[in-house]
Amino acid sequence: MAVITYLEAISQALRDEMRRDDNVILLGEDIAVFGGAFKVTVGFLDEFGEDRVIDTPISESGFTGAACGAAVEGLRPVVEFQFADFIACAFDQIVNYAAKNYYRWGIPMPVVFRGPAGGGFRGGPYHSQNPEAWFTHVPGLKVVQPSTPYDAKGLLIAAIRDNNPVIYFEHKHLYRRIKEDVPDEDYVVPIGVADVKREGTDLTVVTYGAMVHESLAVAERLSREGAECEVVDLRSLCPLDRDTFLASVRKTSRALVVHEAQLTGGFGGEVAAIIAQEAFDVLDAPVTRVGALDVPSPYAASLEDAMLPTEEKIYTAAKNVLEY
Amino acid sequence: MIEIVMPQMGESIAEGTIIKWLKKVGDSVDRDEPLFEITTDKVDTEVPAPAAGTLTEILVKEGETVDIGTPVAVITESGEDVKAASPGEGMQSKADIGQPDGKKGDEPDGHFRAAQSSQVISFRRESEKADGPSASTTPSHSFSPAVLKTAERCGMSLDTLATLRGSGHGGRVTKRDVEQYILQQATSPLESDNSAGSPPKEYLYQPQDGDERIQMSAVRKKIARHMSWSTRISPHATAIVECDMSQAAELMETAGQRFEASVGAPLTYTALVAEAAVKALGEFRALNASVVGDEIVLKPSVNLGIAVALPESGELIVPVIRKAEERSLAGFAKSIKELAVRARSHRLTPEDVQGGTFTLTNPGIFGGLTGTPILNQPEVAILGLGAVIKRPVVVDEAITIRPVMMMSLTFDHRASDGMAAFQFLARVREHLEALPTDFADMTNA
Repeated sequence: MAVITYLEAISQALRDEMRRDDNVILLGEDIAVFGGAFKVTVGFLDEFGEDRVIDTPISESGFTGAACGAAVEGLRPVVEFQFADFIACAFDQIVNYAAKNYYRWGIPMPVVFRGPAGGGFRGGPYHSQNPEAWFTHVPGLKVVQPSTPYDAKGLLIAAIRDNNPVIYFEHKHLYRRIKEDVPDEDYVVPIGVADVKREGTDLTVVTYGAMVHESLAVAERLSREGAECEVVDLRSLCPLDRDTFLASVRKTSRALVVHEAQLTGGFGGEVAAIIAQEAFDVLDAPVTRVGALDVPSPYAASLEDAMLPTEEKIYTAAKNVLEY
Repeated sequence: MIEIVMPQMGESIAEGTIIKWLKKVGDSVDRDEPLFEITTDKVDTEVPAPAAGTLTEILVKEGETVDIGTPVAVITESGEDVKAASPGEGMQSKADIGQPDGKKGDEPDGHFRAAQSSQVISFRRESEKADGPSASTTPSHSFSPAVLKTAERCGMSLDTLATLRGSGHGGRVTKRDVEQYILQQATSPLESDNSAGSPPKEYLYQPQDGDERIQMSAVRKKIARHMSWSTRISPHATAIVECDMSQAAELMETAGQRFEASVGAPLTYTALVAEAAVKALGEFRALNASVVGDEIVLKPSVNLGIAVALPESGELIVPVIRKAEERSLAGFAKSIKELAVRARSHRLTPEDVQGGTFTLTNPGIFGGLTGTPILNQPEVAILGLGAVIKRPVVVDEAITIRPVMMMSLTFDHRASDGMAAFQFLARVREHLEALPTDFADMTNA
């Protein structure tokens, strides 16, 4: 066991899997010679060579298509988007090819599409997005978002070993800000299983990604005021572990769904609808969501702070639900 | 804002003169700090400030004389300035938006706030939220699914629900309100009410000197209330039979130890009677019912209440074995043991004491022949067991000694008659007198 950052956990997962399985290859911009824009793949080129750690041109659609072709040939590519925002350029390759290939002609697509998503560091509109909802809507794709170093490593290993195409969004703001004791030996966080990060009896907060940490901070604050929140970290959006959050809502009767992505059309709507439909008769308050304002990520600090869900906004929403 | 007035320094004093102001306008003032000096007919004195703040106005000058009670100055309390311009009310100027350092957490105002509140907290507008939570005294009639489900599970009527004061927004009744009400009903006293009018005076006792007056405990009051109401609601009648318990006694002698070892709970007369009574209730459903208006409402399951007396408080509590018709003898023995343990350690939940349909009580533990129990509303029958006593009885024209137990069934005469009551008791006795003297194997238990 060693205490490592979220970023180091991702790096370890990639390295361990590349050592374990020669078929695992990496493609992305600046990942080989430069070691990755965020230094996730420092040292990989030396260890694994240019056949397995491939610097690509700035052509997301092209290298994503190439990765899919490699998967058809039996390789297990991990594609890095330097910023998750750029995945939009590869949208067609992912949703029309990778997602549907197995359905269409029985050839699996064991490709992982990963990249740093999320804002809060004044990156502006093209370096701060949370695009998960574009992909949760597409049958044939798995979508995961770890919030801790332990989950980040375990989920990435699971994603690489999965024969389905997996979208893996890491949150760049968590890269070096959180550390955790993570096992050195082989382990997996199964895809499709949520994790109760904090137990409670008064309010269920269903969340994922960076908002897990904001939600836990709100829970601590509310605990001092006498209300105990249960924080459920989804970890996987697709497939979704409904049983865990529904069981939680049956215990607390109150639900708050929190994500950093924009509110409208965000994945929180899916979770809220499931709760309202499946747990209607145990609800003591309306199911409520917190998300970013429906605006592009601003560059100006004060505007970005106004747009993003903050601890304060989550706290206010939680209080409203608790006091309903 | 506080108005400082000319104080009255003595009963007969009607006016005072300001000699000297010890503070000037704009000075800050501590509470109890001397503010001005006055002279009156009787005394010269300093007058202290009643609160901390800033002296913002002097209304009466030095040397002036005014009546008692006349305002002489104004103090504005600390924090008042800040409050008037707080971000919670009204809009800040647009110049506040876009400050260069923009710390995470500072919230700019204007249209962003309006948009954010409708988007982020989509079900409640700003103006409503500003009111804050309040426990209104107006009962609410809009109940959430959780509230209705909890009330239903605990046997609480909609009428009662409608009388609850809610702690939720706008006085809404919450699930917690319902749970707390039920727990309160189960454990604390209700106020006695004499809604049927006070009894005539000649039936009431007037305490005398020498009498020792003991205030009723909470538990006693609760029992008094329930028993009074129960006899008022239902015409009570009691049917009594005698039962030969020799088969039961032999079974307990032969198989009791093995039963306890195998099942983890003792084989008792209570468990045996419970099983027999529940079986008989399957045939005599009108004894597992409630009277509602001019209907007798039969219940699909037997939820058997077993009366337990708590030693320290003397409280009678009746935990319930739900769906008793599905239990085996082992099931009864285990449930009876578990509920008694939890009752005595005060670990029963509201659900444990709700929803009973028939009660079994055991006055026999005090050694008597039997008792005439009072109905546990809203049930229509209650079975009391007497002590098991060895007595001479006549069997096949000869006298022999048998362990005999009396059973008394008190019933609501609106719902049943003596015939049904005696037939029920006869069925219970039949079962008890036909018990095997051993179990073929413990799985039959």
